[in-house]
Amino acid sequence: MDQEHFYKEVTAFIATRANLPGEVIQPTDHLVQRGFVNSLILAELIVFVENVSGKEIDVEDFRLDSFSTIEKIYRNHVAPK
Amino acid sequence: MEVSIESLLAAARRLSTSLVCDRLYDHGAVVRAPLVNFTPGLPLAGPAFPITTDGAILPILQALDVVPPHHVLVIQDTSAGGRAVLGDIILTGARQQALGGVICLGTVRDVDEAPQIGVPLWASAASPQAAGLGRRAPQVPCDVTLGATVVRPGDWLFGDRDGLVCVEREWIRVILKAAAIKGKKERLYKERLAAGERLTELMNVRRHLEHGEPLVVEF
Repeated sequence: MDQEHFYKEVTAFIATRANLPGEVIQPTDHLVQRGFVNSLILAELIVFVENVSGKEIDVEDFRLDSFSTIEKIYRNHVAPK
Repeated sequence: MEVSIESLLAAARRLSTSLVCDRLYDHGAVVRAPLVNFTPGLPLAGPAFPITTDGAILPILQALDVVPPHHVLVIQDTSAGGRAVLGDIILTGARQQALGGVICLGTVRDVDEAPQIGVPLWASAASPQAAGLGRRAPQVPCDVTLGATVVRPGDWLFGDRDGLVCVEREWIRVILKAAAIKGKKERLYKERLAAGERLTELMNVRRHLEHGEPLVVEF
């Protein structure tokens, strides 16, 4: 999935779950600090990214920072290496 | 993305029931039913294969014939008979088929052997008196009710000395992730405690009590 498509999908996903307008969420916004994501939505987001990327994310190897912004999620977990 | 049951189980087996309970949100429940843990050293985790029986053994055999590996056989005895619908032979069969556990809202027997057989066993009571073979169940698996909790085929069950928890099957991947993240945070906290830090200082308890500052609850 390309970056633009990913940003659109994830923004829509978070906006729906957090009951927010999509335009509010920018790719570099800190999702937890801005209050967009709580512990449940974070876990849902991890599963969402697994489904998009086709790769399991092992929590033992997981760094919370890699999920702090949509841009970082794409870079760390979706973008081709 | 399809995730294998083996992968889900590997994640589940790293979690205590209390961790899962803390991250149920509204997608599961603590099972409050008259059930005794007859194998307290054996944690239970797996997708449910629930059946009903009217005080007969045949439905349990009917279930054993088709239950997939790693599943937890959940039996609701709708009779008031009080006779054991399973014992060491069926439990040994469950082990041979790699079941994740047996939960019987009803009576079982041979409970002294259950720890050695090695299959987690929860039941309402024990009695030396066996039930009869009886009639087949109309459908296996089916929804059952443990206390106030409806357990559907594929819902996940977790059990240990703290109790039993049921997770809705649609949410198992999410709940496993959330509980694992919490577990990781708690481990880091315990490492700091082991290194000599004081829990009440880590949590800012005194300043909370004396000055109204927020408690620090990182986990």
